[in-house]
Amino acid sequence: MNNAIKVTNLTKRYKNFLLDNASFTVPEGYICGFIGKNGAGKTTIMKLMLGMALKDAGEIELLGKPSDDVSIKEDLGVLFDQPYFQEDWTPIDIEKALRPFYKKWDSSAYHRYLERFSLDPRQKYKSLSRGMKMKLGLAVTLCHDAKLLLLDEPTSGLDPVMRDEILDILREYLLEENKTIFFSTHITSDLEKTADCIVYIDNGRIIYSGLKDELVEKYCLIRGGMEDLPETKRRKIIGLREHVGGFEGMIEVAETGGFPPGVITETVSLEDIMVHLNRKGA
Amino acid sequence: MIGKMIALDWRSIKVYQIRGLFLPVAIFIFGYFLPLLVIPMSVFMFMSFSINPFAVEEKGDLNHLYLTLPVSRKEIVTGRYLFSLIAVLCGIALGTLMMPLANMVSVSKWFIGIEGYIVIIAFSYLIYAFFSLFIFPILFRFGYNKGKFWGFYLPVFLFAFFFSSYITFSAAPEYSAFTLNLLMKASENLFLVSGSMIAIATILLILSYIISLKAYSNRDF
Repeated sequence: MNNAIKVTNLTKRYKNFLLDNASFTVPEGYICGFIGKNGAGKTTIMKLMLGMALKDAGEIELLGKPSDDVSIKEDLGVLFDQPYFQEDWTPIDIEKALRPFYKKWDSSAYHRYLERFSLDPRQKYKSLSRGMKMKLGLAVTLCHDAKLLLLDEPTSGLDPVMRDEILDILREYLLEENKTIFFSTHITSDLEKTADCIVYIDNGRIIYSGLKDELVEKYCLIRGGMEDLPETKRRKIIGLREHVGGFEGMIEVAETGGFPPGVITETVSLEDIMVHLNRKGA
Repeated sequence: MIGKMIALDWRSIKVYQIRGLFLPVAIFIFGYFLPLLVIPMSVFMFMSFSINPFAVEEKGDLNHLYLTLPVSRKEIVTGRYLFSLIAVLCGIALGTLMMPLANMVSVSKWFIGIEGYIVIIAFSYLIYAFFSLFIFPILFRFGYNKGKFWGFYLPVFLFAFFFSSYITFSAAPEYSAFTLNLLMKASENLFLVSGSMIAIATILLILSYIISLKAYSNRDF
């Protein structure tokens, strides 16, 4: 299987932040969630992929080509937590401005999206609501037959209905062959149903990169009374919390043997994993 | 792609395009008082107009858009320079057309001939290149908000200071013919004077371009 994204030993140093030797791959045809708390390095990696920030070391390949080859941007659809357009532009102006840059710009698809999103082609960008701006950004992102979508927190700050609509559109996009989505978010519920794989970053280090199901199946939540927590197992519990009623935390499924029968285990969500791994780090 | 970037810069200043229509009026009014300086002033105004993509870009964070397009940083810089150069050529053309008109209605009349025009155009080009050496590298490195003081206002202030000093100096009765004499001397040595100014200006412009390219290429967004 070809990789849509291949990041190898990527390093970027800022004054107060270090992206440390990050490596991961995203296979073609997958929707990959890029998760991590705010400030973990998600946007930094996105910007490095797009050449907005300059890497100190490492390699990035997008769709089989080095990321600094600008021709690959023809095949990229990019959407940040807000689209960046001149505020006096209307959707028609946006099309006039951007169409010349893309050989595969599909004007009819663009106008279909505008109609579907109930966007007035003559309404100025600055007068649109945040949700409508995101939809307009999505219309631009999707109308030039991009093979890889790089989305940086596209649903952040949107209400659940709008988020669901956007996720639906992304699912439709994936129905076409060999389309890949790399979707950074800290709203992990957006990924629970849609993502095939996960890249998890914390404090500039890649903690996990692989299939989502494997990640979720690797851990479980565990809780019980204080008398149910053997000293030998204490260190195995990630993000251990002890209170009057007992203990709770997350543990690798492989480590669940050896607990007394009263201990309860439950499946984890991505959010649980993020929260507990973050507690461990803290 | 460079042509597309020029078109994008032009579209990005949509809101300023109407204001651009006032430039000929402003230039003509200026020419009424100082017809000799219509061309340099026109060049200066058009050059200032061509800075607008930086202002708009900063306001809308448009670098985040440009760098997602299939276009290199070099093409963005080159496009911006060519956009500015086209604006300045328009300024020269408009100034050249305006100057005889302004000369007709102005209280001070100048009869400088074709050679005089060439000297003034070469001088205007030199002024543009001088400004470009400051404006573009600083704006490309720091953006409009951080760079406008050092990159635009300060050079303009210094230029205005020297320019007004010169006007005051040349308005003194004993130096009233100074500018005309200077112009005549330059016209007599047309190729040497104008050629030197054009050559120096071109070197400054190339230098400015190289510095800007380096500044923008090393910028993190």
